Formats: sequence, C-alpha cells, structure tokens
Amino acid sequence: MFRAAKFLFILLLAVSCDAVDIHPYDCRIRGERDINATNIGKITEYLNCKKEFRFAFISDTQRWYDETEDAVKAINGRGVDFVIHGGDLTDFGATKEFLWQRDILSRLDVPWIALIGNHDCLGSGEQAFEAIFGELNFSFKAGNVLFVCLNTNALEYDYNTPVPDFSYMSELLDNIPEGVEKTVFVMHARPYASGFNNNVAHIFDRYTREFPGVQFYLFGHEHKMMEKDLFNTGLTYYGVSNIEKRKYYLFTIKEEGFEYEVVEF
Amino acid sequence: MSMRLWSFSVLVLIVSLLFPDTVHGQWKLKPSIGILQVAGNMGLVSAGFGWDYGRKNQWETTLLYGYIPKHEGKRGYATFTLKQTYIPWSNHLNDNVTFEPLTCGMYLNSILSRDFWVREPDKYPKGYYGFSTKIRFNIFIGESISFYPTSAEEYVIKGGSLFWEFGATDIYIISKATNRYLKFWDIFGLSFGLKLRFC
Repeated sequence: MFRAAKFLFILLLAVSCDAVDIHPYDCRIRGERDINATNIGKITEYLNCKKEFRFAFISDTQRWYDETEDAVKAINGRGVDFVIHGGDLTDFGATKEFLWQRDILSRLDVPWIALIGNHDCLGSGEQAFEAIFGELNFSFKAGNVLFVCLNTNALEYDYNTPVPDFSYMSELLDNIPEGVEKTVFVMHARPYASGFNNNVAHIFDRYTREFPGVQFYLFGHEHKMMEKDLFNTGLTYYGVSNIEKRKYYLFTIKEEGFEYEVVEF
Repeated sequence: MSMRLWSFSVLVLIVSLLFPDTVHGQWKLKPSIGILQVAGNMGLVSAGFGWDYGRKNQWETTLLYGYIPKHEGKRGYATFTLKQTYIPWSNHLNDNVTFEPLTCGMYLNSILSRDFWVREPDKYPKGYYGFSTKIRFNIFIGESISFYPTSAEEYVIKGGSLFWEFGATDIYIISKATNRYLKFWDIFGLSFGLKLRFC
C-alpha cells in the first residue's frame, strides 16, 4: 500500500512538472501567453506619436532554432523599436515547437509580434497559436502607422472561414485609430503565392489600397528575398527569406517615406 | 484510406484476433496484459490490452486508447497506439518480485480527428508538406518492477508490473538532429504505467 501511494505521488509530481510529454498536439502551454496583445501595448505606448522608427522583419524560423537564436542576437543592439515575425514558427504545428520559438524570440530586447503561417495551422497548431499569440487577424498602431497583420493561409481553410477576411478589414477601415496617417500590410503568403486565395488577389489589392497612405506590404513563406510590385500600383511587396539563409529586413519609417536594408548575420 | 475505413479495419483485426476458436471453444488469442499508461506522447492517460510472447515472454504487443485533454486549446482528442516492447532480462529479487533493468521499444500513435491527415489532402500541391500530422513514431527506453503474489495464482490476475520510460517522438528527434539549442529534456519525456498480467 505504501509503495502504491509513493508511486502515485511520484507520478502526480511528474505530470505536474515539465518532465512528461502528453502529446505533440496537446496545446499544453507553460509560460507566457497573449504575446501579441502584451507587446502591441508596449509598441503603441512607446512609439505614441513618433513619426520615425525602425523595425526588423523576420519570417519562417521553423525548425531552425540555432539560426533563430543567432537572429535574436544579431537584432539585439541594432536599435530597432520592435520586431515582426511573418509566420511559420513551427514546421509541424506542434505545441512544443511554438514554445521553443517563443522562448528564443522572447530574448529580443524589444517587443515582438508574430503572424500565423501555413505550417502553424497544421494539426492543433492554430489553437496553440491563438493561445500563445492571440488573434489570427490583428492590427496595431506604431507612431502614425497602422500595421495590418492578416492571416492569408487560405489553403489551410475551407470556405466557411474567410481568408483573407474582408469583413475584418472592412471593420478596421471603418474604425481607423486616431492619428493614423500611413498603413503597412503584413502577411505570411502574398497574393499569387501558393496558399493565397488567388481568386481574390486583385480584390485584395484594391481593398488594401482603401487604407490611408499605404507604404508597402511584407510577406514570408517563399524562403527567399523578394521585391515585387505585384499589381503595378507603385507599391512594393517585400518578401523575407527563411531564417536559415541568415537574413532579415531592417525598415526605417521616415517622416517622408521609408528606408530599408537587408541585413545578413 | 479514410479514417472511418481505417478505424473499421483495426476493429476487424482486433475482433478476428479475439474471436473464440470454434474447435477448442477457447479464445484464439486471449489478451495476457491489461495496460494503463500516463503521458508518453499518447495522451494524458491511455488504457488498453495486449499480449506477451516469446520463449521468456520477452516480447509484448499492446493496443492503447488514450485521451488528450484540451488544455489551453479548444478541444480534446482521442488517440490510438500500437506499442511493441522488448524486455531482454528479468532479475528475480525474491519469490514474488522481479526487476527488469531494461525495457525498450517503439510505438505508433494516431490522433483520432479529421483535423489531422495520414497523407496530404488533394488540395495541396504534390509534396507540399511531405509528412503526416496524424501518425507519430515514438521510441522509448525504460525499466519495470513486477509483482507475482503467490496467493494470486488461483485468480484471474496473476501479477502486475509498474513501469517507467523515457520516450521521444519523431518530430522532436528530427528537430534535435539539426539544432544544438534543443536539450535532452526538450525531446525526451518521462512516462509511467501499470500492467496487469492475466492468468
């Protein structure tokens, strides 16, 4: 009897600590959650009415933990105000993959936010993403710029989930926060890439241009550096490579226009 | 193969294995083990049955049905596991207790949900992902201690074993292979269980 009780005690102790693995898709989340909401609060408050600031854009860090760690070290000390991750934190959508990435990226010395990538949608990945990061479509104000972050991974969804979500964009358009003069769009898959709902590519372009002062568009997914004026509108889509290529974008929003550079590390 | 067909095939297999042998009026393959396992990448708790065989009963094959609570997600999941264990040695501690210093093996785990697939659905370009989200391959190494009370011989259960294992699942091993960042405890997990041995 004593033996059984002792066994039960050890068992409960093991389950309650992190020594056990319940399942790769268990959505068992230890540590920090609601990353995006928390960090957006910091970004918006810190940049308040600033008209010039810098941010880094990285993407597709799935299963490249060592390189992600190096990216964090490279970005720290570069004087950026925040970092955007363009999605695909995970390869398999497994819960632990999200946590490993979160723990590395949390070592950034500035606030950071992440979008959902197509790999992050796999299995229970979307549920884990929502718990750790938050909404799949979200926006935030940095200085006088509105960053609109959209889930564009249409191939991962059926028709009962609108991707991209025009209702979300419409509602946002009707409620542009005070002080916003410019807009930047961020997404994982760009129009005409695999995974985007290409039936609405043109509509997406036209609708995004309803937003005030669109500056440019950011995307990941294709694992290479790209610069394309996709719709001949004079507005550029900037694609960042996966982190394995050890590159990221450094954008500086100026009072007039913007500057950018590709940083290798 | 669709999930329904797959589940049905497994059911047919189990029933055909257990079905009474009409000639001898006995079960063809009566399970010799009842198993309960906690954690191990197959659910919070899994239960099932199986068989031990081989010259020294060193082989065990078990089928388990497990449950993953929803935790911070939106829903829980059921899982099915096919587990193969090898127990090369058994040391007699006394008349009633044996200690198995090494148990090892592998298991396949399938999460039972339409949100997961064995092969990529047709909507994806060929080879878009190149892996299954539904089936996980696991390896483990562990130990066990078994009790065979002398008085139990006349009952249905002749004894039981407590076991503990270190296990890792394929996607964690693959992740570790290319990253110094990941450490032992990131990919390996501890698992416990109980086996009842039927007469």
